[in-house]
Amino acid sequence: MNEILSIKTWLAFLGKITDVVFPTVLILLFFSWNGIKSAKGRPEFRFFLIFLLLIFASRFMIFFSGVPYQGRYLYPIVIALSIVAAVGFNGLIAFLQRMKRLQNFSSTRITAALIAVIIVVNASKGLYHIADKQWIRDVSAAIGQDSKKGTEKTILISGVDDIRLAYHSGAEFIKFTANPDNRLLPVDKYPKFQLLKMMTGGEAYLLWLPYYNIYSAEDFASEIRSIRAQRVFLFLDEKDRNLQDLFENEKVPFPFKQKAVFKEGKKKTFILYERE
Amino acid sequence: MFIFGQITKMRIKVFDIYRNRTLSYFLLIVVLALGLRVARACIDDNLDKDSVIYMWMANKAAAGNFYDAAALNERMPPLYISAMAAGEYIGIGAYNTGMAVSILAGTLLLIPVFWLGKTIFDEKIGLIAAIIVATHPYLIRISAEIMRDSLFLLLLFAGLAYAVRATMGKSCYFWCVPGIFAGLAVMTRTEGIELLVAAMVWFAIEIYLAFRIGSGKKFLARALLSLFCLSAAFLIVTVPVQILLSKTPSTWGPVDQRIAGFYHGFMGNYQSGNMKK
Repeated sequence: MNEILSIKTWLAFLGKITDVVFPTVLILLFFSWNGIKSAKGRPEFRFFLIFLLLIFASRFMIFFSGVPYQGRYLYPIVIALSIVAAVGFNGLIAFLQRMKRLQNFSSTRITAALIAVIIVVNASKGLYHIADKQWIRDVSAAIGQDSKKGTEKTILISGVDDIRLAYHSGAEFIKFTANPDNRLLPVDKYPKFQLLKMMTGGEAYLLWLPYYNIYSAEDFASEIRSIRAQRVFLFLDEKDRNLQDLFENEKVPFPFKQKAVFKEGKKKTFILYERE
Repeated sequence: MFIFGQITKMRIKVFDIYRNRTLSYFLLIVVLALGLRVARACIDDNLDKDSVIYMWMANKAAAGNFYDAAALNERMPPLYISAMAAGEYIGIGAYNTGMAVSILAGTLLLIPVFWLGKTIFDEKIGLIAAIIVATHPYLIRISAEIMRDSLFLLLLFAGLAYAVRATMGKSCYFWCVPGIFAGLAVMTRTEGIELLVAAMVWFAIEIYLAFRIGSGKKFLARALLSLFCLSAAFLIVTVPVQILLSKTPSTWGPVDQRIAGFYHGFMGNYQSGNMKK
């Protein structure tokens, strides 16, 4: 009860909204009150207001329900607020005209300048682009290197659960997990690791299902060598050394050789191995 | 001679656009919005994880394997994926179709936004709102991605614009139009149902206000007929699709089953005081 009344909780939610709404819209919203008053009491405005409050309330409920929250859930609020913000345009012009430096300028000039500023600021931010997770493309390029596309079967066993690796590389994607799904296994025979592949399951659904259970390094090494594919890659987070440790502990040679290292910022490093 | 006359009339109408200042400005804003979205699509080659799933689903659906397509994400509303699958089927490709739909929907979104601004306030407000939405950085980004949000926003706000028009004393049957758009929006993202809920709340308030001024009974009959038209149009659009999809692993329906989950999650957090900070 206290949490929903907590200023901190509300600030976190409002912080998300202000981040998505964008400062130019927020400034215009600040000046929109007088314009809104003119529409008050009209049924069409009431409908719009109910819609705005409803989408705000539903996003609030989703935010507090504990599901992963993305900024794009708030875009309907952004558009609705943009319409309200447009009302503040006249208010902002009136405010600017009261400023001493701008008193000599006609309202047409100020309007044109303001529209230009809004377009330039918004569009600059809209067109500003940072290549997100460049390593995904680099890994895909490394996998595609030296391989004859369409004629060679390539398999990518990945400990990094990002389906984009499969899309960009064109390789068959097999997940490596250190947390095996034991539901389909006898209670006394839990594997150490598991490979998952998207297959048609018992109910004829496509699911990520256990494809190979890793009980020992020896078994796994022979399985890797027997895979009928021209090229087999293993892609792991550098910190995730469970598999390598298994091979070291059992003193079995690792069936992969390191091919390339990829970095994401300063904190994350990924290693691509290829079957020897 | 008749055809020549028609062409001449059309040319006169085209020139009329230049005489109509608001329309000219609006078309300029539409061109600006389209340019910004196309530019963003050319610059940005990032692909979301969801986009890859959408393309896989579209590829499987285009190959006639609807069962596996639905199994890849059982809760996925079908409209955007169907558009991508259609593109894949006719040879344009799922990626290109998804991108084209997002860019076009993001650009056409200006029409309901302008219309809403004009209806609720005035033409000038409509134009300014269109400029803001045309240049809003996050709306530019979402319109240049293989994501269903851009199409959803167009359908949701088209429904809202028609609903706002319907509140201005239009015929009860006019409520069918927002119902159709709400149905299409729900087929893109399940939040589209919010338009229906907003209409119900609005009618409840208007009925209360009408009773206060003594015209309650007359308005009540009108409100019920309008709500019937809205809901009927919504169900006519969505239910046949749900029936079709029920033969596949899809669990999609006009009302999202997760709403109860959100509610329980919210109430659970609310009661235990275990809220996100």
